[in-house]
Amino acid sequence: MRDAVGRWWPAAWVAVLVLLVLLPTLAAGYVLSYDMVFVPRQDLLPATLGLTDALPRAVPQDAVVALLNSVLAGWGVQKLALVGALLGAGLGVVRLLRDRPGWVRALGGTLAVWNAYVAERLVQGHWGLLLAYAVLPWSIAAATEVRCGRRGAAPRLVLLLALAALTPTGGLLAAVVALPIAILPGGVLTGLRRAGLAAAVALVNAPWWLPAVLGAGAAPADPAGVTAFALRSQGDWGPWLTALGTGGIWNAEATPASRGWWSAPFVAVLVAALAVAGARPLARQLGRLPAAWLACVALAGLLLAGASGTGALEPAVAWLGTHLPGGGLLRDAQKWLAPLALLLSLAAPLGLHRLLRGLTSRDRTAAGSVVALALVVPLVALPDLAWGVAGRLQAVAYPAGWEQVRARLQDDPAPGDLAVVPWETFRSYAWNGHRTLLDPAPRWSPRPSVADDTLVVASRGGGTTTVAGEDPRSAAVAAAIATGRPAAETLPPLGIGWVLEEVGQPPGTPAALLAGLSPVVDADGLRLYRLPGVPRPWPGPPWAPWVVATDAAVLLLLAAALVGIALAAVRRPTSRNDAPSAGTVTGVPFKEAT
Amino acid sequence: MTWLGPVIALVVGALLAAGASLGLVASQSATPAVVDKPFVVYGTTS
Repeated sequence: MRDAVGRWWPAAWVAVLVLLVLLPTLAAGYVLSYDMVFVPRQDLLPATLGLTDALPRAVPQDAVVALLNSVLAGWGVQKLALVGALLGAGLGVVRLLRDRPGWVRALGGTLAVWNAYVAERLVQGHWGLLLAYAVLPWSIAAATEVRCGRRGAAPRLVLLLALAALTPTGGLLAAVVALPIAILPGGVLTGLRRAGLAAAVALVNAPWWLPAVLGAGAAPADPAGVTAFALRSQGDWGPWLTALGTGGIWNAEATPASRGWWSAPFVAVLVAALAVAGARPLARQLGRLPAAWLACVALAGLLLAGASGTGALEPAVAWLGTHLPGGGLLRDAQKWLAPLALLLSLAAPLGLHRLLRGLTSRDRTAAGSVVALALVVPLVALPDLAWGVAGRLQAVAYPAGWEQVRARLQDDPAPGDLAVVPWETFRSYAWNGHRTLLDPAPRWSPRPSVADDTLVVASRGGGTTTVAGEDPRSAAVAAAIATGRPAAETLPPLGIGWVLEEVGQPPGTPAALLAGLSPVVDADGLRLYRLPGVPRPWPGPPWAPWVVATDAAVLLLLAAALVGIALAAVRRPTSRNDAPSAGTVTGVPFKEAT
Repeated sequence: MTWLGPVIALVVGALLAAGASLGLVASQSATPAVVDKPFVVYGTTS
């Protein structure tokens, strides 16, 4: 019994922390914040697979949500994703620190869950990125096992990297962290198997990079975004200490207040110093190459994020965003601190363990106090991560009008896609506490829709920066609306048969746009109009069949990976020592030299 | 160190209670203010 408690309490501690963060979000309803939009039922539309001229930023995330929606309501998918992301990150670190004392594992889980990176990305609504962050420790474990030739590890790694690839950034992050660990020289894989594994990882990422490469019609990423989305220094201590503390998201509104306290840089330096002390034990825990590679990637992320905060990288990142497909992914530089957050979560507890080892034999009480303090300090330094990031994340209910709009668009045989006005990318609803929210209408719509995709970012000085959108069709609809002529004349040639007006949303809709039209649905601030006449069908991109065929190949690969895992589980020998060791992470007990 | 869990729970609980009493940890304290601009911005840099 005592052993069981000792073994499981770190995992239970992590679960308590996750509940402490997410409890308000688990009530009935939807958590809607910035880019996080879930609806009761999202349809599998061409845009969810990247089959438009827009850059595939939420591909294949939206397609996966749509598929899950066929068996689970949107709120269920969202709660699973949020809890899964935080729990996965914490338990992944606990798993990587196996065979270490319970408090070391618990502290690792604490640092993985309770940090600025998680807090800021939660508020910004980047749940797909947080899922990729959660995948990182598990993929390192799988990659290390691949390196050692453990049966079933390779298909497991492919599945994990596919989960991370729900978003382009997540896919890149996990692949860069885990794939080299599996295939760099020194492992037992043959050259052919290494190439096969690399190809499989490239393929599971193809749902986002293939449309990005083929979609030559999309506008390149606006260089203005490089400045607007650079790391934001959170205090007088500047961008580098901000980045070292894994914070610094560009959006001040998504930043917990405690990130501006002097405790933030103090704790950042403390944790980093402990991590340095834990470097050697980490190399023994993970194996030298995996630990060194994780440190390299984490350092690269720190350099990228910190340098973006100083403005030093602006020309280079702007050039990449303009000339390289997918180069725009680099502009939100704080995203790339995920490997650093993981490295600190693993190394800092090991460092503290190393420092306390001498003390433990002399004074257990003192050591216990230090451990208790260490477990509490991350929470005290960032108290406003608790309770849905101090109330910023709360579950709310959509007004009934949204269901009426969706039902009409689904049941009415009149053709045409949907345009959404006012022509603004973000909304602020009273029923959602006036939180800034990406317009949910495109996800509610069972038809393809066109909405604004420009991003307006305010600066505290009072000015604004407009980051241009990337969808040529959206730009065409914007130009048509800007003419001031009625929608019935200008929009049907662009394939639009319906207009949804969200009444009361700034900046409002010009009266002339919908003059002479009567809404077919008018409820809860939503007015749905059917445009007269037959809209001209809007052609899909000619390369769509290639993307669909590739997506089908990815599904086949994932099915094969599942079969591979099942077969390996059946054939696995009873001994755990069936593979050479690269550290404790492979399951081979490791005795650290004292 | 089986006493550790209850001690930590007590400390964290006390901290949260103190934070709540000071208004730091409150359900709506950090919600962005009502938008007073003619449009909804994605966010604010400094």
